[in-house]
Amino acid sequence: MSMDPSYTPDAGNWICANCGGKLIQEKIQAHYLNSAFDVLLPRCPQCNMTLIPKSLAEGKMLEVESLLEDK
Amino acid sequence: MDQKMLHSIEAHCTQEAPPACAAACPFQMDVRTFMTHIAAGKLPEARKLLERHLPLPTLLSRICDHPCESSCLRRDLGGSLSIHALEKLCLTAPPPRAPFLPRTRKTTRAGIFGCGLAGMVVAYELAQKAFPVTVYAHQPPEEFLCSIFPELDREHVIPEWQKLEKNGVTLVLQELSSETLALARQECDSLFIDAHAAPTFAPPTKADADSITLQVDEKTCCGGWLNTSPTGSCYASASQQAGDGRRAASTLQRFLTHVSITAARDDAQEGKQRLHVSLENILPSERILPHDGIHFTGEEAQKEAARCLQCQCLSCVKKCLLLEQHKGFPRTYARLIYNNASIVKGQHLANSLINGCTLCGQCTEICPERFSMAELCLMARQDMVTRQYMPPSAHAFAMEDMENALSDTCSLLFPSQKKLTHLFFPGCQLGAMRSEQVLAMYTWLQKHIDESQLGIWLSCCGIPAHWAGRETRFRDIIAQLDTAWKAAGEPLCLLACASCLKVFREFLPHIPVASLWETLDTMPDSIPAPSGKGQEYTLHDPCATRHDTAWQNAVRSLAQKCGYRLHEPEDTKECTTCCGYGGLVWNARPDLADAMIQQRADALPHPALASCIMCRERLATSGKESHHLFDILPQTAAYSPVQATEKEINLSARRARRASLKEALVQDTPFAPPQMTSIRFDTEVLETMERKHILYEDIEECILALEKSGKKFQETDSGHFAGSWHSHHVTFWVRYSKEKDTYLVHDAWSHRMLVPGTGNVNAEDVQQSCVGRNY
Ligand code: SF4
Ligand code: SF4
Ligand code: SF4
Ligand SMILES: [Zn+2]
Repeated sequence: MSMDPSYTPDAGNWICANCGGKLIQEKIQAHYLNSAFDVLLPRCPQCNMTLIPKSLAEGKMLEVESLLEDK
Repeated sequence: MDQKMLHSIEAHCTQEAPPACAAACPFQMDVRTFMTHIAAGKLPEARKLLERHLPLPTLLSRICDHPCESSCLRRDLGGSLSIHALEKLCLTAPPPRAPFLPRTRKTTRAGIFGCGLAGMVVAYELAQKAFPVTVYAHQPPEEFLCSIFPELDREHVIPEWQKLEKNGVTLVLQELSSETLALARQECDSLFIDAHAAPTFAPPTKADADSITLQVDEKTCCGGWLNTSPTGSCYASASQQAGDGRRAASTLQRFLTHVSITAARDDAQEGKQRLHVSLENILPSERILPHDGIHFTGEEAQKEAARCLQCQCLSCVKKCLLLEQHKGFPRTYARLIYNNASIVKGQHLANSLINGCTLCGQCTEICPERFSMAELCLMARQDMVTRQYMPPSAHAFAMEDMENALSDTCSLLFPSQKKLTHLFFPGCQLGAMRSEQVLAMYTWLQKHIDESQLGIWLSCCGIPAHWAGRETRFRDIIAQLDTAWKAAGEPLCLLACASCLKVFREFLPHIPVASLWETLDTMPDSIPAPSGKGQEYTLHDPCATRHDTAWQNAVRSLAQKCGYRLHEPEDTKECTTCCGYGGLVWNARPDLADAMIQQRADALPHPALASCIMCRERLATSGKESHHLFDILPQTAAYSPVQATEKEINLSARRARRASLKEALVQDTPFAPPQMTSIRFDTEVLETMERKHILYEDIEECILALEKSGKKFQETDSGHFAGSWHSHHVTFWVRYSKEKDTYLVHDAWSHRMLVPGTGNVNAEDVQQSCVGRNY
């Protein structure tokens, strides 16, 4: 199962509202039903926060979720 | 499900049975495909097909007496297809190359005693299988055949015979005497006696041989008897003689290879299954005749072949979007579902088929063999749940909704601690969407059911769990319902939901039940005067009432008494169509469910009148002008929270209203629709949420958590915030802004995948979640 490696925010200029810092594309491991994927996502490393763009959630992520659910 | 069960289920679908023409042909000629080729002008392909099916194709296509034509379903619709003439036309196309495959000759020998058409067919069939064959005949085969079948010339027969000789057939020209027979028995390992060419050595009629094997003794078969016409004259039927030949060849081959002569014979199945073909709406189309009365031109042939109906059943498939979408038919689906259960590693490809069935039973009603996809899919779901491969997202939301209706916050049997005689059970969805009307009806019933102790029971019958394949949970619910009913003094239950009624009847058969509609219909004072002015409705029967004529009649009677003019749609009563709520398809496959209700809505010419609130909900969501029966009954019409063109109360409000209904009953206060004050939504967001099954409370919980922790993102141009919250196995995202005391929600989305740094999820939670599958 492969996921494209990097997803940036959908549109606009997003920052971390917690510390005011900029978001950087960082590798993180996403999990579902005993499978794990490395993916680059916009993150605030300082506050340990990850942003999942809507397009990713309703696109590729949903696709992979249903593939895994049918496994 | 085991193999045996699969086969018995499969057998209920006749879609793979041969059409009438092929069933009447002793060689099961694939006439349908043949006609397709001819209609497309592909004569060589048609000829190839012919050679594959018929023995001695160049002879048989000239002399066959074509029983297929009298069975053809076009017969009374313009005339049977000219199957025979078209087959003959094929002979003008070049013969396919190398019909005989070079094979090592076998060692056991077959003998043919007497060479009429049947004998020659046996020789042909066995030579093709590489058996050496000796033919004993008293005259050259071409002479005998030409004397019997005037359509044949020597130049037709001789080349065919030469081909046989090339393939190991030897001719012994000799008088057919007892001595010759003894010689044949001695020289050959098995024997065929041609009853036409050697009548004195064969039993007098076909009835003397075994009907399937044509066996007459240990290693002998007979075939090729003459037919007798109704007037008593004898004649040779080419199809029957050649058919005997094929049958006998199959037996002989079994003799020669020492396998059972009866096991797994295709020809033993013949006529067992009949393909069902609906001839409804098929217009007659006149037979195309050859311009000279004999020979078809290519163009004429194409036109004639195009008249073929391409007979098939697919009656159920034509009505059900699920069956259509998956591009097969119940027989193939049974196999898919069976295979799906046997997969150990890899994708379960039939999950979406299984979860796409509304369990509505329409296919069973339509199918002449009563094939039940619903039973098959329900059984598969139960198996998927037991063996833990049901996709977690398929029914999760519906299960939550059911648990909400069953929770202490929403469920109620009122008044409690009393022995009741009657108990009104509106159902979990009617109570949620039409709380005001439920209250009004309850109040009215209290006044009008004489000398009774009437109570109200807000609960759920558990059907969602049953549909989801969660049998254990379902049985729990049933047991709880039973206990509660007993505690209430075993009253008569008046149900307003068709699914509840079905569940009570099937799983709690000792509980006396009646539909609310029948009850009202029999009460003389229920409709004092018509309120309608002859407005028209097309009825939409809920699929759960398919076999409940009492329900159907009561609904019609009440609506008429209310002053409305009713119309029946094409698919109605026992053949009604599901709205897509059934079987939780709305949860597992929302797009399919939407397509189903859209199709249904389009088939209802007037505004729709439904007697199930979920049907009304789904019709309204599709944009159809529709009403629930409550909207026209005098007791409840004034209390409808929605208009005919309005959508139904949304998913979030339904839950809140269940609680409010309970509160109103217990506190004896008027029903107060719950309000959301601190959060407002962009209109499109509400639609997204409805589609994605995101509730107000999910959003509220999310925003509150984000505001408390400050762990949110911000888009600097708009100033909008975004952040997430994880709850009941879903991560919810909200994009919102703050305006004075309220939050304005601009967007919402969700996912099930766990990502560290989203919601309240951190890396350890993620690790833990990987242990086992959670629902
Ligand atoms: S109606 Fe459907 S299930 Fe029944 S025989 Fe026809 S194709 Fe098969
Ligand atoms: S219409 Fe076509 S498929 Fe149907 S019986 Fe006639 S030839 Fe066969
Ligand atoms: S949705 Fe209804 S008609 Fe379609 S397969 Fe299922 S039970 Fe049959
Ligand atoms: Zn930060």
